[in-house]
Amino acid sequence: MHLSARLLGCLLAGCLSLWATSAVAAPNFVQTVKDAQGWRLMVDGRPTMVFGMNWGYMPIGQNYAWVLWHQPDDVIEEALRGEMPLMKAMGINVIRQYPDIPPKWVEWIYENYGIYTVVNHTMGRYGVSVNGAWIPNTDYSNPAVRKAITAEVDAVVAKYQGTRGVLMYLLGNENNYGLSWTSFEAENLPTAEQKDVARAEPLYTLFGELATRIKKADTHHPVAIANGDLGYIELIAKHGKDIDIMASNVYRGASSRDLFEKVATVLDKPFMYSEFGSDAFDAKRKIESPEEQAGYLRAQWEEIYSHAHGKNRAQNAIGGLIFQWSDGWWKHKQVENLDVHDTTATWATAAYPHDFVEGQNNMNEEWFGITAKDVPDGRGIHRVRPRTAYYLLQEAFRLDPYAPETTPEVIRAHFGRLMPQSYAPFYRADKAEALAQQNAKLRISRMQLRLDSVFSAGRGSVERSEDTRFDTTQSAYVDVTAQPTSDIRARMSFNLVGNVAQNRLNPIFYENRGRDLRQAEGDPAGTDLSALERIALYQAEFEIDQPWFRLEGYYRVGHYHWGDEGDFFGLYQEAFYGPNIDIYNARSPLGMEFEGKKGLEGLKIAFGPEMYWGANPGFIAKYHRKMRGFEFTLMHHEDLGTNGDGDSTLAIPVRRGRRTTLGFGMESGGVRFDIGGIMANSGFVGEQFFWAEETSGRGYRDSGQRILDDEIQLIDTLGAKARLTVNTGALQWYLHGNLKGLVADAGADPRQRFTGWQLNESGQGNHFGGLAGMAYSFGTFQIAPHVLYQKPLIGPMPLIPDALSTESGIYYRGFSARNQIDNPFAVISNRETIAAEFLMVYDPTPGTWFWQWDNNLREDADFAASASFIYRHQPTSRDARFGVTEAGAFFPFAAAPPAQDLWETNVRWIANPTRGLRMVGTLFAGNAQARGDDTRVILRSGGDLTVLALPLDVRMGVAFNDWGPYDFHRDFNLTFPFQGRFELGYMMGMRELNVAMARFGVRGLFRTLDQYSEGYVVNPMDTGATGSEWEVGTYMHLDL
Amino acid sequence: MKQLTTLFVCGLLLCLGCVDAPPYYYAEIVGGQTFVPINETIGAYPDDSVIGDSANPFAHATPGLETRWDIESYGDPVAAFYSWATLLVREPTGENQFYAALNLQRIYQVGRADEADLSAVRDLAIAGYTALLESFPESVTYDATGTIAFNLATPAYQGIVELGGVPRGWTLVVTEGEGRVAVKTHDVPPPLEAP
Repeated sequence: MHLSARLLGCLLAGCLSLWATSAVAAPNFVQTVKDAQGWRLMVDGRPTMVFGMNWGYMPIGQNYAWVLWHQPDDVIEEALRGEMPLMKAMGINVIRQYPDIPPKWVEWIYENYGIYTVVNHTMGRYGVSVNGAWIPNTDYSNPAVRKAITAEVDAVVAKYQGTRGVLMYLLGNENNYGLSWTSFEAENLPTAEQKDVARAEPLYTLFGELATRIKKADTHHPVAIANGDLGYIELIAKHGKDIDIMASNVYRGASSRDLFEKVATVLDKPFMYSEFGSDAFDAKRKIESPEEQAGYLRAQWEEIYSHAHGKNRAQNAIGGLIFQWSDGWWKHKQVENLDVHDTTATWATAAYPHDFVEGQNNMNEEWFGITAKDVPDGRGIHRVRPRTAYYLLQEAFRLDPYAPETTPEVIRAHFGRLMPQSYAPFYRADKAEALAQQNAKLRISRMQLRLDSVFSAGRGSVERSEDTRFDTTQSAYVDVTAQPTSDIRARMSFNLVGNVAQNRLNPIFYENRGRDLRQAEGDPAGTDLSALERIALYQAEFEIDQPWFRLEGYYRVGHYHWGDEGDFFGLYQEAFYGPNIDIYNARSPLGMEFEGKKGLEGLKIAFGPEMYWGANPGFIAKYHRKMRGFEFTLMHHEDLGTNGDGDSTLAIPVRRGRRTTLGFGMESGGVRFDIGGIMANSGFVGEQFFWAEETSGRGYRDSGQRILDDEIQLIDTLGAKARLTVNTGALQWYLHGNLKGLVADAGADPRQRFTGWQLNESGQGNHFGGLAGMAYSFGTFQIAPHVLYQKPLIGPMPLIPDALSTESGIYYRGFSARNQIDNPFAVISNRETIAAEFLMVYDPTPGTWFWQWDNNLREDADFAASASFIYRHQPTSRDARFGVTEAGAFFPFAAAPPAQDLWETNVRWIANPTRGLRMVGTLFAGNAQARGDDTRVILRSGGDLTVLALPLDVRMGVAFNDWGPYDFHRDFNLTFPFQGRFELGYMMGMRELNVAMARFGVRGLFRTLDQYSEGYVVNPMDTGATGSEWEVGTYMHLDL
Repeated sequence: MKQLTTLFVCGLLLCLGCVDAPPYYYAEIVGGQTFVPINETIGAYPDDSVIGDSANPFAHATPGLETRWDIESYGDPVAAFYSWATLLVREPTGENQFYAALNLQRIYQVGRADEADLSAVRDLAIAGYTALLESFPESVTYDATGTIAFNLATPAYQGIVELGGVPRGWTLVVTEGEGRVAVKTHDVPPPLEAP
């Protein structure tokens, strides 16, 4: 009985214990332990070497804005089931993750594959949100910044501390490099001379404080920091008493030399690589080099083993996290060429001697994966192909570092047997299979097929017939990519059209490029296109990468401006034109960009027939240098000819000119000061012009104006401007002033100014003025008032008709608005203006910046919105603009609309109410003037809404009393009382949020017409009669 | 640095000091000139040298729609020629070409050029009419009401003949109601064959 009672008690205790284990799964207990033989990491009492991996899941074509954990659970699980078994089979037992991984997936990975997670908060390495304001350059001495980071880290610990599978907390990511690097891309490692203890000390005191806080909050997990190599190790020793593990991102090549000993001596802490490894691209030979990568990793792991517990060296190595699992195709440029595996080396180190050449970069950020990556399917799921290093390390990790028999001799022998060449055939075979599927040298990289049909008709006083017309469009795009070597790449895209619908309400579109020809032949409705009209080179681009330079060519492919590289006067304009490039069948941008390297670094030259829309044939050369917060830029732009009507695209012509600019920039902390000068259009010196000034007398022909007969002088070619920007965190402000001579024409400063302001300086000469703006953030709100003042030095020319006095034989010539071709200058965008803009933004997730060009697709806030109001006081008129007729002919208007104050308001909002549902909307209202000479002021309003609920895509929009979609509508003030459009699409196989492999749907357009509308016919019996037009159509677009 | 700043300021002041105050523009006197031809094609399309002719009072002007007729009726053929020839460059039409040639013919006929230049003026007038026949053969002008159009090829043809020239490729035919009309030679219908 007594025995039975004891047995029963044991059974009960066992059951309770089992229940406790399964029902309240406790987190793992992880600690660092030192004994006479050195340091070890103990996980639930077992010594554990970190066979770790910097693992991330980023499909080709995406960048940092794409997050696996934001995908549906089935996609996440499929992605994990594809990669975790591969890692487990290799011997990987730890991954490193940012704290956006949901705890449930940490546990899922651990429970299914036994892989632990290092939770890594980057501690403001890429910016920090302070009171709702996003500060890209973190100042660790700022109390508000420290408080914000501390709050974030506290939240991370609270989120993960009870989660099984968490191995440790890792703070930062080479934040000491961030003290001197100028971008988020990898740059050259700072040298010893670049030490800045004053800025570093606050960083390391914060590391220490946070380590103390974490250890108080979570007693189950150690704390490590991810330092950049051993930078500021003395500060770590001084402030990091509670840091359990010294971890570093180290790129010292095959051996880290004295690193382990130094950590042991100075810190007496266990050491773990938070990043290490090698890229798999040979920058010298311009070929993929998986065997070299495997060789470096073999040596690095042998060194880890040899410094591990009980191996009689530093005895403090506890493992490392290999950088990285798969290639990051997005890393170079980060928002461009996301589907291009870029071979540009971005930083240099002699520690990897196999491809190091003095003066050249040799580290290829996009090639650090120990697996290569295939193109993803529509959900982002991709396959990886293990490189040589995978197979070699799989064998290496079979050796238990803590087994008694694993002596230094055994380690040497074990690694000595691992020859990269022995494992190379596995990867080669895998790669060969992939290459067989896509001929890498010349292949059809993309095919699109667009089949549209449309019914349309009119009603009432309109030109369009009341009889319903039906027509169709067939259009195909074929992209051919050639890459004969890794440093030469070219892509050409061709468009082929079959029938082209001639009944569209908006008849100007790319496929309808034969329209002008038909009109010229008097057959506007005909479809008899010549072969030359049926096939067209739609886009072309190429890229050549050489040791001394990089050359990129573009035709109808956009390019960025150089504003962030010193082009203060906006000479090289950005060339992204959205749908207009197709609507107007533009033949621009067309040109090339040369970028010097090595001894030519800082030199850039762009040249070509039309580098941006409307540019004359010519070149722009820039030399830009940056030295410790100071930079200067010298630029010259020379037109070598002019674009005739036949040569150019539909762009307002400009006179042949030249410009030279010199700019200086200084930056320190959050303060930046730019100043520059320009000399432009010196060829205009001596040209005659007339101008008018007010007089109290009768003036010229009783106009109250005196006319002056003047000519352009050298001083009229000069200009200068300056800008001061101050960023103090929640408050950001700037002042801008400029004075530009009559012909000192250039572009506006293209750089973004803190937020999404619309007002900007006029790039034209002949004015003085300034801008001032302030963006203040509190919490998730931002308010941003902004003002502009500008006034031309010489105002617009008034209209004074000519006359002949037959008594005296005196001829009084007439005067009218100037234009930019027949006169050396004209008052257009530089018209006298006092404007104020008030912008409000609500954006709870500043990491996805609300004003990023692709924010409609990237914004991850549940709700974000902006509202702006702009008022322009324009007390005088302007000179004449050029107009373009529907047939594409240019002419200067004879006059300009009168002085008029204008206002406008705009709202944009984005909502992600549930996963898989995205809504984007805009609203606008305001009054406006025509670009031509019509004096009618319109009051326009409208809005649009896009609802993306995959696989459905619904788009709709309305506009009241607004212009039609084309430039000539605005030129001639052609408005429609109502315009409404609707589109319902079904998408399959998503490449990106709004790019599907297949998309079909229905769409419609309806608009009413009055006497101000294009296509309206006056009814003499009823002059107030109105009309309407509609079209409804279906479409099927394939993008393969 | 200080010297550089001083140099810059001095340079700027020097530039500003060099900027002369511009004169006021008043008017052009257009009557009583003697015409001096500057080349052998002035006033004949597509020649545009009249814009650079220093004697042209309209070189920087474009006579307005009404003013151009005021100048025409003012009675000074030299002024009228410069007005129409300037318009011809700015707005290449048969009407502008015709009146440019017509006023050259008047200059020749009333002797508003030096004796030595008269022969050249006559040739210019013929060249102007010829340019109309070659470049603007279908052009018309209107009566004062702006509604009734007159073909300009016929008076151009007649002007050439009056000046002693030979209009090549054109001939005069008699039409019912319109009297004599200039037509291109290849447009002349063949005579009807006798039955």
